[in-house]
Amino acid sequence: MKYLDEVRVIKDREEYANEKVFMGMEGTIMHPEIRNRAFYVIFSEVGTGEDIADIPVRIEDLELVSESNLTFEEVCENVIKGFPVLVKDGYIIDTEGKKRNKIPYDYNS
Amino acid sequence: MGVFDGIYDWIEEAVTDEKWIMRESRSALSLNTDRNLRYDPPTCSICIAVNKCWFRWDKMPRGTDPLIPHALHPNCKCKIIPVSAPQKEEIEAFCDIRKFNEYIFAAKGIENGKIKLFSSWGYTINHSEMLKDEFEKQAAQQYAEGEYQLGKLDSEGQRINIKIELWSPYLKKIVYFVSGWMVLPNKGLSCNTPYGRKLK
Repeated sequence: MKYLDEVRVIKDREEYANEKVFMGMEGTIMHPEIRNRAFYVIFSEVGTGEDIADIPVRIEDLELVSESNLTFEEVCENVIKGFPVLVKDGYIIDTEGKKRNKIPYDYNS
Repeated sequence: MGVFDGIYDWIEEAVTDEKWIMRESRSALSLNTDRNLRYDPPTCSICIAVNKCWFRWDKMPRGTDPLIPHALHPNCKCKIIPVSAPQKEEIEAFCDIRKFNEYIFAAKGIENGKIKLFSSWGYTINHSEMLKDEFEKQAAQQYAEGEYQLGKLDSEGQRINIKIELWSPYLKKIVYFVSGWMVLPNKGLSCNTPYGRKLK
């Protein structure tokens, strides 16, 4: 998962529900950086294109729907060196290509 | 005269004069960090997210205590510093062109309707560069004039809504809508979403 990928929410949480975001909703990752182990996702209404919510969603609560065409280098443009930007095979990867968690899929490790 | 006499004088002045303030987070100072350098959830992540962000006094993020309106939570140690109103040339408004050519005009745009809207106004992926420039110009101007609405505030930062006016070559009229931006430190703005909703 990375910047401008389309993602789906796979877990309900109160913090999401408060923003009218529920399991199954699809949105787009709108910031390249991963902050606080969450992607910033915008959810839009199908048809009108109006935005419903823009919230940070925890990595473990997202699954990939469709990938953007951006390469790793393109994702890292305008991002401060060393900042995490990508999730691949259960690992958070920073702009240097380093893994930020020790145990795959345990993003707090 | 007490130690704290007059401490809010400038605030009252600010209210009447629509002055600008810059937030300064003590957490950011003590941790020697800011929103661009901190990856782990920090203490007071919301305060750090708006550290060194500029707002017009009457449109700044506020807490619930009317005596310390800028305190975003109990025991908030953030300060607000009066600053001169920014000029539009000083505002660094950034709209990633990929928000147009990889989002609005990308295949996924068909599903959420944004591409349909922009197409109906006469714009295609070939106008991405022009749209980026226009959005940045208008956002900088509107923000400098204090013409923005506060949106959601969380650890990502303070969202603001800015009205965009766009000439539609198809409709032969100006269309108005709201775009979503994030306030960044030191007079910076970053476009979250070029099209948030139609203007109500």
